[in-house]
Amino acid sequence: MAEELLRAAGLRRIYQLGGREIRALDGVDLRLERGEYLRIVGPSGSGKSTLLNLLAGLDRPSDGTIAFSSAGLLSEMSPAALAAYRAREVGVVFQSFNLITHRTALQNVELGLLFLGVPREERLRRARAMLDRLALGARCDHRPGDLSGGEQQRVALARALVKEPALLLADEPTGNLDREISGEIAGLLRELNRRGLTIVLVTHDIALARGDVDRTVHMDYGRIVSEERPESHGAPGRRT
Amino acid sequence: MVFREFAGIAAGNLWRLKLRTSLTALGVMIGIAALVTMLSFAAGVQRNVAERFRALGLFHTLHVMPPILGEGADPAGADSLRSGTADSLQGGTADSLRSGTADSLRSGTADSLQSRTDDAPPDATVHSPRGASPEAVRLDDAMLARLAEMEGVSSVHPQDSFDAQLIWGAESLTVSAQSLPAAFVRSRDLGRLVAGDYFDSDEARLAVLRPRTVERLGADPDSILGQTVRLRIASRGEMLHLLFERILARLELPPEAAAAARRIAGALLSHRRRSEIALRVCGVAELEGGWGFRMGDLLVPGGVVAGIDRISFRDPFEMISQLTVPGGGEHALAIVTFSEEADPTALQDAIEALGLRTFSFIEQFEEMRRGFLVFDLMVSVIGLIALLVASLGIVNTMVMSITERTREIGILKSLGAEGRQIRLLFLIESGMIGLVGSLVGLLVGWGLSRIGSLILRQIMAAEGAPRIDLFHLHPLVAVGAVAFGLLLSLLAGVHPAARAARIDPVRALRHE
Repeated sequence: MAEELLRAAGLRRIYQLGGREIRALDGVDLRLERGEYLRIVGPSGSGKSTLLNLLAGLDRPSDGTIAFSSAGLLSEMSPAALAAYRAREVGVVFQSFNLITHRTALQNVELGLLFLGVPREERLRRARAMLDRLALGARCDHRPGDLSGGEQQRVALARALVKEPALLLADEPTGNLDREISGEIAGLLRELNRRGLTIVLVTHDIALARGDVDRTVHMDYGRIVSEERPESHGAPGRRT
Repeated sequence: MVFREFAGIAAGNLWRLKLRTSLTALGVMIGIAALVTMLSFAAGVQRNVAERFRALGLFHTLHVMPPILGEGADPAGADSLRSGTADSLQGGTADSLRSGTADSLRSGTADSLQSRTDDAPPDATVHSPRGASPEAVRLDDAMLARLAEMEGVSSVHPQDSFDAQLIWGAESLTVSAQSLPAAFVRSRDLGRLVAGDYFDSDEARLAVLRPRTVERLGADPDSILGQTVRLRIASRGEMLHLLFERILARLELPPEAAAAARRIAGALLSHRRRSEIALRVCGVAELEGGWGFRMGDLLVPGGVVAGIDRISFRDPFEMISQLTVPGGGEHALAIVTFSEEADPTALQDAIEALGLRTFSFIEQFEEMRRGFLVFDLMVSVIGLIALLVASLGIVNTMVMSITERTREIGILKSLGAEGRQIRLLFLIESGMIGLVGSLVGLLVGWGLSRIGSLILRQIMAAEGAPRIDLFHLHPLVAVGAVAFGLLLSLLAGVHPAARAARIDPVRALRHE
């Protein structure tokens, strides 16, 4: 049996909005194996980004637990421990790239190591290597405004990967990109998963990475409504 | 390490928004510059006063005076006057002399004391004798010797002043002269020498003149040096004789009685003739005096006028003393110098226990220091208000910055930044604004104080006053001002930084 990386049980996230209760997540159970490539699909407002934020340690559930193999229960962590979890275990890429506009590509990527206490020289060396790996070596000194959408997302991906996280969370990573560039990013994720990285991809694009993932869960109204596992795929992390 | 990294990020952020950062730092700069300039002025004035006190040795000096006439049941001075001079006159004459002259002198004395500034100690701080009865207490040479033997006393010098006519060739001036022991003159900075030197002997017939006196004689400092001048000294007997004649005229005595009275008075007031001494001018000096040292137009060694009957019309203390002591020998003022180890208060008490009056410059300086403290506080409040306004500018800048950089805060949190690290980042930014503003403010304040000093020195030079530096920037004030500016900036950054630390990363990442 494959090693478990993460287990979420009975996750609820309730917001109060203008006196109304919004149940963004309403009892989600999820198990993630190390090396697995999980795709979460669903319409807007189905709760998939809320689930991703909870898995990323950016938010806390109103109810339920998230257990991470090496870090313990996220829901019971102190703010400092949760920040350390974000710094060490998990890399996140967003639809809007979320790069700091006044910093160069290299400076953005090295930020991924800042809160791990890595010395500056080491940070720059590793950031440059990661940008080279993603074919952005020539763009190190460019600011995000000087890069194309695809390049910006690759810089964001480099920033998430530079710390070598156990889990990569991608929230609509191709939402702002055209079809060709989307295919390029999907290919990159596939490649990373083949090298053993556990990935959770959140998308509303039903076709994106459909053939690459180990499992797809469908969400609606804050719940997982169905799950599909392509039969062609073997155990996670064992593909070549 | 994180602090150093954050300092780099903060500096980069501030540099990116140069105009906003500069304008915010300008507020701090103005506040600090104002504070530094004003405190430098206060410190400069205080230092000059302290230096003058030190130069004159006032921190180790007590002025000792005989008991004032009329103080106590039967003052020694009045008694001496009655027994020595007035008793030999007619009874009515003696009474009128006592009431008509001594009383008017007494009231005149009190008035003069109120109005005096640097001539002699102000009445309010002169300590009256509290131990012995003033009867028979005299500040004569025997008393000076007794004072000199007291514990902690380094030296005792009389200070006498008198009026005289200064004659040089065909020129004649009425001057106020001062006699001081040579040792005392050498131990104090009584004024800058323009030509020649002060005297080294108490017996040498030498004189030091003020440049103004030389000018009044129609000479210049170099040409008068070595020249002989004559000093015609008004006598005490002359003064009393004048008074006697007035009283006699009022009494309308029969001619025989008046003639008899004149014969008796003539025999008693044998010292009424003026004395004249020849002195060689050995130096010309800016006899500044100040803070209790009234310097005359001319300075002579103490021994030169020791035996000469003389009177001062300018110093009421001395005039009373000179008039009331028939045989002379009593001093109106003695300067007691004490050692570093001596307890000034104990010494003062011991001298007062002898029936003498004292005046302490330490007390006067402490009172001045209290005044300076109030001034410093007022100045600090003005600077503080300027800095408070500047700190509001910092709060505004930081709040704006946080609003603009909400998404950036979300990104940093998603990468693992803790709330306290975000708070630190923004505190560093506000601290940097304060530090840069304070350092530039310090430089500007220092520059302004230098310019102010230059202008004031020019004005002083034009007025003929000594060119002193009225601004003094103490290193502690400089460090304190920068530290204060930094502290205030950090305090201004606390609320915005706390707000930044509390920002929800999920909302921040959605922020446009």
